[in-house]
Amino acid sequence: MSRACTDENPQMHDLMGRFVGIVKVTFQEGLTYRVQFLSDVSASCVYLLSFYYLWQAIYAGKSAIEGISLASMVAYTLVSTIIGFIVRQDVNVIIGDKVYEGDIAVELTKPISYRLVVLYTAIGQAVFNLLFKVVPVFILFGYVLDISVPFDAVRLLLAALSCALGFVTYFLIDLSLGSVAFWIKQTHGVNMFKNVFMAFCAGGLMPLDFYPAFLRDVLAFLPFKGCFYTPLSICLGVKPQDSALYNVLLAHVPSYELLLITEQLVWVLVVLGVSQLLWKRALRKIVILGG
Amino acid sequence: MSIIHVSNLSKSYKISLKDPGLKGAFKSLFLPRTSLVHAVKDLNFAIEAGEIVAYLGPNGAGKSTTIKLLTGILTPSAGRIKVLGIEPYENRIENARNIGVVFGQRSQLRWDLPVIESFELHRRLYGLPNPIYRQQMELFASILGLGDLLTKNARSLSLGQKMLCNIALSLLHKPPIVYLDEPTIGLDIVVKENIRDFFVHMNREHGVSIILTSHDLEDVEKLCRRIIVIDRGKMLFDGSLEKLKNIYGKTRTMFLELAHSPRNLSSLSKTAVVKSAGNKLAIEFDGDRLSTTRLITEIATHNEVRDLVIQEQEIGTIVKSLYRREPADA
Repeated sequence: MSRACTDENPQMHDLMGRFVGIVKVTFQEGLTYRVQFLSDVSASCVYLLSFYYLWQAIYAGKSAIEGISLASMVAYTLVSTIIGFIVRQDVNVIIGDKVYEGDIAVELTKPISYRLVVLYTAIGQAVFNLLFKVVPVFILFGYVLDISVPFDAVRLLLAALSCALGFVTYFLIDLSLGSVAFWIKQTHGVNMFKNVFMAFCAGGLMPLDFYPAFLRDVLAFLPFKGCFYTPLSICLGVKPQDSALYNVLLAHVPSYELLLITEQLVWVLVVLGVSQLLWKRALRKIVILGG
Repeated sequence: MSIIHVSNLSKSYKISLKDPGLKGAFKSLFLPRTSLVHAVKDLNFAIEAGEIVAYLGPNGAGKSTTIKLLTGILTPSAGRIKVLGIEPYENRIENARNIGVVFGQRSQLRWDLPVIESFELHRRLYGLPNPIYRQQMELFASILGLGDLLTKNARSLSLGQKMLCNIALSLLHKPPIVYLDEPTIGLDIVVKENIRDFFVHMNREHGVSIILTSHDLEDVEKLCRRIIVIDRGKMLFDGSLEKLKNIYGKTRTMFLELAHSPRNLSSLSKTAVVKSAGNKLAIEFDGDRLSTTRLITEIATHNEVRDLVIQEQEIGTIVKSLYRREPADA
């Protein structure tokens, strides 16, 4: 197959070759850091366990909170961890470190857009996490703790699509933050803020339905929820909060899942525009030490 | 045929100024002050295919800035650059296929992986066909002795080994032009020799054009026929090594050993600098103003000369004296 590509469409072949090359290297690097890998997986297990018991304590004697049962709540935590493994990235740190160390100069001598290099790296990491982190965590918790997640093929497919869009949204937000590194030349503080902010605003920590009404309304009109909450709610079959706008739109779309996915798509385009603008300006700004 | 055209090239950028101490840090946080730095001012030069050009200047002269402008990393503030017909900052990616770059203080090896993986990745990034890849790897193995290094982890390599790998990487995709920004910095003599021989080979056998910045003037003497000297962003000299020596390097030194302590040399002190210790003499003179024959005659009239050596000025001394000059229109 790769032969056919070479003969018929060298450009396509080039594109695939680069993608494969970067993903392969990312995989190999992922496997090199064994200790980091193991501590990542075990930290997530401990995190999941503590939430498992926390929710049990909170739900003691109650059948449901905000219309969510304990079983759904625990499933939410499990799925949010899994989606987190796939969606969460540290693209801005990858870029920021390159800018800080001055190695961005080396990257910019390659015949490929540096943003593509970073995107492929992030995809490589996501696939790596999917195989080596999601699977063990899922088996451990789904099986051992007997957490049930409602599944059917169509839902899984839609959830996967939504998750991919969540990944892209997260990537573009992170890329914009990375562009800011060209000005502030330091990103670790920004990244810490981003992690907490995303956990809170995107619904990584708990369902957005638990927040006060005004906060819910604000977050409903921001792109962040597309990163975690939207794929989560599609996966778990949670319908969006009743709102006049949603109801009007739902009349034109066959299902609420498709409506949510369309909403994600619109946000992807918006965030793409913002990141494009910031990146172009960042490259103009570039000053590399050692003139 | 010119492969690189640089006309009226200038680059200036803002840097932030900070007062010393904690107070200064606070002040710059709320009231940032900036100043405009002219890294490169009105440069003009052209480079022909197959040349090896030394690009020299003291620290902070604007050498690396020029290299970054030529590679398309930086955008000029004014002026134009054409590299093989491409404006690098407009078409960075297209330009990147034609060039190889080595930054002596940076590595493009994947730190945690065996070296061969960086080469494989490079092959894919440049879309290099397998036969050419294998042929290049064989070439590097035979000339640079890369073979054994390929299976080692990049982090375990010595500075010299890392540099050999980076140099090989920069030439893997057969670029017609390579930019070397201090490629021999911090390396031992054996590795330096190895690297120089390699570049001479790549230049002679494969026609690779080389632009080299270095503080090691032996690199320059061994590799380069042409020298460009810049300081404070301005060009001070552009020409052959011989021309540089002719213009700035006419000072010679004559070392003499006499049979006795020197006599009657006061007449020389007008045209030359005379230093003596016991029966030994060192006379620095300008070849244009005082001929060697006249000098010897004057000395030999009153003294008995046992031994005599004339030394030309070293390139290092010439360049150093050039750096100290004020740019003509500063």
